[in-house]
Amino acid sequence: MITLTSSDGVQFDVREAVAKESQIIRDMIQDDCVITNIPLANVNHKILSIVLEYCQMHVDKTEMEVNASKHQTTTGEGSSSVPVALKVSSNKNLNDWDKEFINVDLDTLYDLILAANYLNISGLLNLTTQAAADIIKGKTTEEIRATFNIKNDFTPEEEAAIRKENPWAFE
Amino acid sequence: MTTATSPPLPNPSTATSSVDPPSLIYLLPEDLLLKILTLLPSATDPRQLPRLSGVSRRLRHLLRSPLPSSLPLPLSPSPSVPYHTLHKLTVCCPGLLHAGVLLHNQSSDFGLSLDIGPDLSLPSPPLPSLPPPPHTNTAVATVTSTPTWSLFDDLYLDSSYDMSETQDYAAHISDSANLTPSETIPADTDPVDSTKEQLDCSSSNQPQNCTDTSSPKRRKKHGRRKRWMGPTSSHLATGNWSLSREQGSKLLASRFRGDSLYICDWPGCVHQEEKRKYMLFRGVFEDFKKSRVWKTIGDSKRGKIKLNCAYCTCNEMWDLHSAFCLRGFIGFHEDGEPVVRAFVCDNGHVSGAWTERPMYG
Repeated sequence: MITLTSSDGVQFDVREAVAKESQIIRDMIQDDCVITNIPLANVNHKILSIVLEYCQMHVDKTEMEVNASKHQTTTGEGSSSVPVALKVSSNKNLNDWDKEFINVDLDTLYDLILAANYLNISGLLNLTTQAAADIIKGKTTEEIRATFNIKNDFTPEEEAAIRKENPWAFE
Repeated sequence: MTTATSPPLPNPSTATSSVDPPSLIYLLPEDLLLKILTLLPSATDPRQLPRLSGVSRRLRHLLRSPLPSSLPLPLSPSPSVPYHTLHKLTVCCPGLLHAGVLLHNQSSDFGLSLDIGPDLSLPSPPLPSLPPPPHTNTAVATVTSTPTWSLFDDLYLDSSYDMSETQDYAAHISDSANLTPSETIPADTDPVDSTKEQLDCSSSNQPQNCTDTSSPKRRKKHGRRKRWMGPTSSHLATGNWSLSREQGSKLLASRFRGDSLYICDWPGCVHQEEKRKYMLFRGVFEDFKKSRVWKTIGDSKRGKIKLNCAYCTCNEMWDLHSAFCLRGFIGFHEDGEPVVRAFVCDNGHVSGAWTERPMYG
């Protein structure tokens, strides 16, 4: 077990495999194998618990698959289509779970992106940035400003020039 | 998140939220923000990135900065290529003007374009024909209503109806310069201007417009719309928005097969003109300065013409046809117009046009 301590001092005991979902923790453990307590200065307990939920789920799913395929190989002449079907369905479940998991408000999403980047968890980083892109997708300039509360800091002349550059985008 | 759903209306709740700090997502470090932006499906909706770059200075700066090499893109140009240029290339047709079609059409419906084409780069003369609107508030509306207009379009369209007037370019310039002040004075009180009005109207074969002399600008605009034949400047391309190297190698002579030229998929943006159909394409060389084409045109020291690149600020382009960089079988039409023309600027942006190959025998 490895203990992860959040920036506000809350300790999380997790299995090594779960912690190793993070590239940065994986590197730390490799560099120094006696390490058991890792302080994470940039992640508070609220976000860390969400991140660990993600890691836990993905590790569990992977292990389940490995076990299932092992089971298949040890029992011998199982039809090869079974593990494939199992894998597909489990991937589908995981994608559904991810979709549900990432359904959070904008501020949490921001924290999760930063945490995933800091801890270097590529799966979570892809998931969160894609979620942010999905929010932007299909919105007009004004809608994007409203969604993210962005102030229009162009002068009217600049804005006119920008629209003139690619008039078709603003029709 | 109340701001996520609040519409941009001037009610009290949004008035308070407008002083709130922006959403934290917007304040992400640049690399993360760029990662998000590259995940946008810009190929299916090309309006996305131009719209984003119109949101605020930060996003605009981000989208105009040189490409980070880590970004996954359909092709990996040299790092100095700004993202927005590449993006513009994929979705934006160069138009007849930038594809050089107007330059070469001396004998056809485009008339005097050879004479006036190069003058495009002159910054001062075109201004009088498009006076700035009196109120800055209306600037956006005005710009979007005539999005790709220039004096050249004006001349080009006039030319297809009346050659005599536009043959003298300088006279036309002074003509349009004289028209501008008449906006403030009703035209019928100024004998000089009203004769010009009538001249203009009769030359464009639209006498019904002459009645509307009180508002010359409106009349002029109306006349333009009637004679509109298609965009000559760059515009959103029809057809597929992806670039491929296969298309590029079909264009170049076989000795350049080592060069990476990406061209939009056949047939590109199709322009049906009076005489023939032009299939306009756009593309870009990867590592242009290391390409064999660049060496060849640099050695030949010729074929450089005055033509603005549609995708960058270059105002001279190389004629790949006269530099013998195009495939050998690509010849000429009966009237001397090349079947394929292609031009490349110093930055490796390619604009050009296919025409249907002539049927012999």
